[in-house]
Amino acid sequence: MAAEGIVRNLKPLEILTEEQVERIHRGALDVLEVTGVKVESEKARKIYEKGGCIVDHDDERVRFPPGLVEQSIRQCPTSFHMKALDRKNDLILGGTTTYFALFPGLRIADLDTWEVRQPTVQENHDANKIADGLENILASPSYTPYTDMVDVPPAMLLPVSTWSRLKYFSKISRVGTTMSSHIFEIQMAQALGVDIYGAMEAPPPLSWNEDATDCAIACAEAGFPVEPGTGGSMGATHPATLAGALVIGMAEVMSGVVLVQLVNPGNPVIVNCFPPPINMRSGHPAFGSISISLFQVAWNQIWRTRYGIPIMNGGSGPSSAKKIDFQVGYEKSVGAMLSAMSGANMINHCGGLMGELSYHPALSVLDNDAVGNIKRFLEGVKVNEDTLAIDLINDTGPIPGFFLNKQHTRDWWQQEQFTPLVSDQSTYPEWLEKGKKSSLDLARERADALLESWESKLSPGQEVEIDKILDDCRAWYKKKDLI
Amino acid sequence: MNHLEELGKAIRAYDTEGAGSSAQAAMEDGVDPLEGLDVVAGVMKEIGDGFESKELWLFDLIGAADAAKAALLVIEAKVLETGSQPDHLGTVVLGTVFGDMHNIGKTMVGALLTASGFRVVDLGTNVTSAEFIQAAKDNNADIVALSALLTTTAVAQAKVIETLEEEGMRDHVKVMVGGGAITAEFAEMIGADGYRATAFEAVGLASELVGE
Repeated sequence: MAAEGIVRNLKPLEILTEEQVERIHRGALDVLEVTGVKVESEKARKIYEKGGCIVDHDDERVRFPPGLVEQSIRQCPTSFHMKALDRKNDLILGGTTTYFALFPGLRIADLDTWEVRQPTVQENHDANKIADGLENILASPSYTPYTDMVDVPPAMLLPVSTWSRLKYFSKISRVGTTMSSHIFEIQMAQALGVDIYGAMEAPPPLSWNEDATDCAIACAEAGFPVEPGTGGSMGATHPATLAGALVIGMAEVMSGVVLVQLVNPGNPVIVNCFPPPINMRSGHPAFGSISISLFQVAWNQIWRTRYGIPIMNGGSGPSSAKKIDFQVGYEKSVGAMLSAMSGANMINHCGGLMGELSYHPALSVLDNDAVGNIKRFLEGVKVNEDTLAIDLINDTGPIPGFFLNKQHTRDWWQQEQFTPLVSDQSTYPEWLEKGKKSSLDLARERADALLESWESKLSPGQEVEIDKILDDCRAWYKKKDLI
Repeated sequence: MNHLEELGKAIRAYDTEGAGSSAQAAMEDGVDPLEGLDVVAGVMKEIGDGFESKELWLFDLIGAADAAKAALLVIEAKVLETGSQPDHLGTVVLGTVFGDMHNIGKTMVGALLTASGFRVVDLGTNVTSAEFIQAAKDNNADIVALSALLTTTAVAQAKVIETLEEEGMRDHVKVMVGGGAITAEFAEMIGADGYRATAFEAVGLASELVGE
């Protein structure tokens, strides 16, 4: 059993020629062979060395024979199954299926003042419960919904985040990678008998810090999928050109794939990279820029056609908009549609606002609706004798012919037409009568209703078990003087 | 064109090598290093003003700052050798704290501080408390400026402040903090002397902290 997801019945969007794909692929291999990547962890460098890479331990540099990179990519499964707490939310990643996930925000956005503040741990739990009820959201990255929480010391932020997701979000989750927190996050997943996937996130350019490689190694050893994910900034830590950013992003992620395959040959991976351009005035990432979609569509084409490995996108998640307004709607939805049309298998998207600075459950409700639209579009046009309806059209004829009273309409309506859950489709009189509510008002109401109706999928015993692991984690950090 | 004119031209052209060699030639010709510092400061102010008025881009500012840095390396060595008293606003030791690799905001603050007449010692990213303290001692710093983008590394800013206190340096070294994860409340909680949200505001804060 697995979640339905979005099955693409359209030809995928492609924007590169075969020759361009090949040149980017060769460029990435060249960078890996000539320059390589900086790997902070000695443990990881030794794995690379044993696997056939050329390693300079003094310079912390690892260089890659092209054959090893290509062989590692070939070893990756083209699709894989992930087991969720609620089995109807299992995922089969790969092929023509796309799933949508949450996107993290550092803090909570106040919908009256549009300022951000630290959420409480309870607000983090509540945001997870609301996302648990959203039908088009099937996964969540680590440090999501909120990265920062009141009264949680920095060392405990990621473990508390994962603990909260595993308790209140019965879908697939990612584990984080700060101060070795993955050790306890993996234990929590194992205690519940669910699959998680590991974040291997790079500080660009061409570098892996110890936490990233430690998390990748631990997850691969446990047989959990790993997401080598990089995300520099075009014009700052990645080249300003799309092609150059693709070469460096490919090289970074390929080097992560090699590590995972050396640790556990055949281990599942899902590849992610989105480098927003820098805002050349402020130095901040220019989230929401259309060049992120150009990058991701090209990225998806290369990985899908050249390697066939499951692909993740995250570029549509953080809009630069500071309010839930027109800008957030177009930036996020255009990006998500392009990602889905070009073959991303997982899209981290829902709930993120103000760059990566905030998250709000009401936005995840609205994004969930937008994903419903995308889902319907990707399912395409079904053409068969029944859908063509030629006999029906001939029988019905011109005016006063009418299709509203036909069995065919009753049979096909819900399969063919998508009805949004919260977007305002009321008539003007209805809208006046019901208090002139905006789609955001309706989303807030749905969020409240989802929170009210949420039910735990954990047994009391499981809850006690992961609470204990969190306590162990806290004690471990205390002993290390990190709390 | 004399060497100092060449130096100004090289910084305006973002020519790091040219800026270093013009500065070197000027110093070898016996030009007063303080005059060299004036040229660098003047051109960087020009670039900083252009950036602030949006005629120039961030890559212009950073390109000029890199060239200025190459020249300052040569000129400041001469200042030390001659015992001259440079007329800068103060010395800022700058870096991103331990565990954090984020570079852009910190580099931008450094460039704008240089453009505003500060002497900047940029220690880079992933800088330990011990490295900040040593650099502050070596350079007789007026300000230590700490950047952190991650919530999980923000706490390392507190560690630097604690270490400055332990070393008895806190009464003569001001601390300013910034970065994506930092708020004014956090800055106050860890005992920093100031926080600003943007690079431009950070320059204003540095000026306030040195009493300008």
